[in-house]
Amino acid sequence: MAALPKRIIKETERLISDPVPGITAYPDEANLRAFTVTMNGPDSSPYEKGIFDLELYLPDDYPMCPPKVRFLTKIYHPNIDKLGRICLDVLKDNWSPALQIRTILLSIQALLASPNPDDPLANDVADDWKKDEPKAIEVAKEWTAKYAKAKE
Amino acid sequence: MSTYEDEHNITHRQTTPDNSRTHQTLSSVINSFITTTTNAPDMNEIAQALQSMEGSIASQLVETLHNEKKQGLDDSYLDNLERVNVKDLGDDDCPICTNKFQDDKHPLIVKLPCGSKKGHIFDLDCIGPWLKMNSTCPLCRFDLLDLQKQRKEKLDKELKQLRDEDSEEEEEDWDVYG
Ligand SMILES: [Zn+2]
Ligand SMILES: [Zn+2]
Repeated sequence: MAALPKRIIKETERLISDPVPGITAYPDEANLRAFTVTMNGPDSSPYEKGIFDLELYLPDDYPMCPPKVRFLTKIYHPNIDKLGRICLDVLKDNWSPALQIRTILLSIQALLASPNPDDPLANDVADDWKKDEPKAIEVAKEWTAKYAKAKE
Repeated sequence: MSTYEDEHNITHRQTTPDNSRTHQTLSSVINSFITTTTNAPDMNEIAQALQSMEGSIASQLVETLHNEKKQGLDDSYLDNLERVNVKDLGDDDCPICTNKFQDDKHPLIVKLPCGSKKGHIFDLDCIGPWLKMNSTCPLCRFDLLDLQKQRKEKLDKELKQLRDEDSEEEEEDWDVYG
């Protein structure tokens, strides 16, 4: 494998020295392109007080290609499917090499704060959300309490 | 030669739980499509690989791959981008590699014609690989291919106008001598 590009080293250093509020991201010791991420659920969202685990992976042609990001913690959200895959434009067609791990994690946090059932990935969740939003929000809160607990 | 697994760092993914296996197989197919940019991707091969997988999902995926194959710009476009002298720049970083332009001993810096006032400026080495696969400015998402098309259309229109004027003159000539 080629040496780690300087940009990745710089991004990693800044993520650790100047972390995004409510987010931690640490590279795995064995593979510096793989990050273990935790994200606090945004205040006054159904995910409030939850702590979610994610994995983030920088492919070989990063930053020409976006990072691959996935929720490991179960989450009830119209734009996140059962496997934790996230439907977010900047992770796909709207990726730009001027974006960074930081900006991507912020975008995911923003997606938790404002779910978008009109652009769904998890179709059944999006359907529930559109049919009965208050109920869907209740379920999201239940799941948060059940699966996204702070670790002892 | 390193293996596909080495190249694509698949070891990490194998540590993820087994329940997401189908997804990973799909994503590795897509991955190989995305990462083999220098050797033109063989769509048929990918299509065949996908078709051998599950029917309807696979055909949907094939369609998506076809549709989402983005168009980039060619070498001559890159060669003709406006060059910027590092002496005219301040303390700016290249938005892609995030290195300071001033720190580069042999900088080759270009400005995209995306219409931004200050100019969206990149190392040619950094913006080159992006523009070969995409036609947008990484900072403002302005589509450079659209601009090129617009310019070409405008030129074609002007040429056509000139030709029409020519033929009108010819007709007039006929009137005089006819
Ligand atoms: Zn650069
Ligand atoms: Zn621009």
